[in-house]
Amino acid sequence: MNHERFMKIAIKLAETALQKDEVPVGAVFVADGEILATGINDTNRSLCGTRHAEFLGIEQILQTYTAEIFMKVDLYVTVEPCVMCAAALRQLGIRAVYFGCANDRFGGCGSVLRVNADKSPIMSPFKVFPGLYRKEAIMLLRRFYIQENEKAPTPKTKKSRLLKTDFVPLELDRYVLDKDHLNELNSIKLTESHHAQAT
Amino acid sequence: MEFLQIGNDPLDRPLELIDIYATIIPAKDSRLVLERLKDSLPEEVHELSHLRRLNRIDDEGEIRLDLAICSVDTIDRDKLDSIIQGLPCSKIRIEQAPKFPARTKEQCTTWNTKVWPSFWRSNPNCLPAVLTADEKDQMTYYVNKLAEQVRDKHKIHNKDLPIATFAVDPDTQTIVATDFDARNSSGNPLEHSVMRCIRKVAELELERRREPNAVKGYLCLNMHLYTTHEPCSMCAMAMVHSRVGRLVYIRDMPQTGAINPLSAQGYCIHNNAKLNWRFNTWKPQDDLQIDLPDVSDTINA
Repeated sequence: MNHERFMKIAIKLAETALQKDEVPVGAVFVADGEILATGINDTNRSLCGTRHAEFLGIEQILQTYTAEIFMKVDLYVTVEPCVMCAAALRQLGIRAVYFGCANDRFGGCGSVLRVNADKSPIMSPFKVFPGLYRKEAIMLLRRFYIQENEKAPTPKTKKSRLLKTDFVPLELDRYVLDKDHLNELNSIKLTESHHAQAT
Repeated sequence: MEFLQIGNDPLDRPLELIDIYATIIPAKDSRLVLERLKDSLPEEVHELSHLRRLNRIDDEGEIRLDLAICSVDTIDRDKLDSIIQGLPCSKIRIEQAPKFPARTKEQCTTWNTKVWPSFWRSNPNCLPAVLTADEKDQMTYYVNKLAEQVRDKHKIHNKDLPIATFAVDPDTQTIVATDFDARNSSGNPLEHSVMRCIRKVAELELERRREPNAVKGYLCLNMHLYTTHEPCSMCAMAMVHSRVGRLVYIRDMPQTGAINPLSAQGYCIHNNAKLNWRFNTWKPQDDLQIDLPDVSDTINA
């Protein structure tokens, strides 16, 4: 049940980001069943395109622990980590990443590149488990983009302000590497039927 | 200083070979043979338009031609034999040919002495793009200055890795921010010089916006980043997120770099069609002439 608890907190954090006019992404870092740190996107406030939720959480952890801790750290994040964050997490040696929805434009765990698992002579790969509270994560992003459009100096067409509620299925084989991995993903039980229907 | 542009095509791609069928025919029958082949052969499965299809054999008597029929992957030997039955062809041989066009004229000449000959057609993707003399001068100046700073800093502080980055505003020709690698002193393995430099640009922008009527900047839009070592995937993608206009780096990082098509996984993040921003990238042609303190191959720069 813990997956559910941590992902729900990540969703709450993403809500906070939305209220602060940041891209709604929330991240929760967990070791031994305890939350070590959380992060929300901070790119707009900081005027810095690299201040993603993951980085804020990572920096918080490193104020207390040395980097070796990441061997036993799992990340719960509402959106698939981008190429930059996936590379950062791999360099740290994170154990696993659980995420809500895919990041079609920047995703580094299978959507655009597979930085988490491509062969490297130096770094170990990490596994990702997609689709936890996916619809909630997507709806948060959609609400953000509508909010942005409404604030635009010349508001776009009405269509761009309509909140869509349909969902295309997640392409699991982009993220899931083999049968064991799929079984592992399918064994994640959420009380609500909110994770990817993996078959 | 001369610079090489780093695209998606390796300039020194190794010779990759492919098996082709070849046969010798009398020159006078070449039209007949080529027409029959054109009518009967299935479509070539590889892109082999760079190969010289007909090669004149210089010997006494009747002029003969060595003909590349098609790749072995295109048709079975039995089927090919039945197609050429009755044609004035010598016994079919299997030869090795370059799978891809050569990248330079010199490379083409060398390959032609070893394997089936190919044409040299200048390849627009690998022709060096043009830098103006002014640009080259500026780039030379910043590269030398960056190398000097990293050497000087390393003399007094060698706890951290000797990797450094400048963010340069190409319009005003000023260094906006300078930063050094700090992963060891900070205890954060992600404190690479590129990440720190990008963050510093943002901090300066935040500060500037406190002034009334400040002209707003946007991230590192169109800035030029100079860095001592080929950036890792994290730093390369940070540059995409930050809308950098140009990257100049000095040393390749073959095991960890995310720019050079020959480095690590060959991501070419600076020029990746799947991403929403690209920047042109250069490195000094003779980078080993530039003295930099050693950095291990296994480092993500």
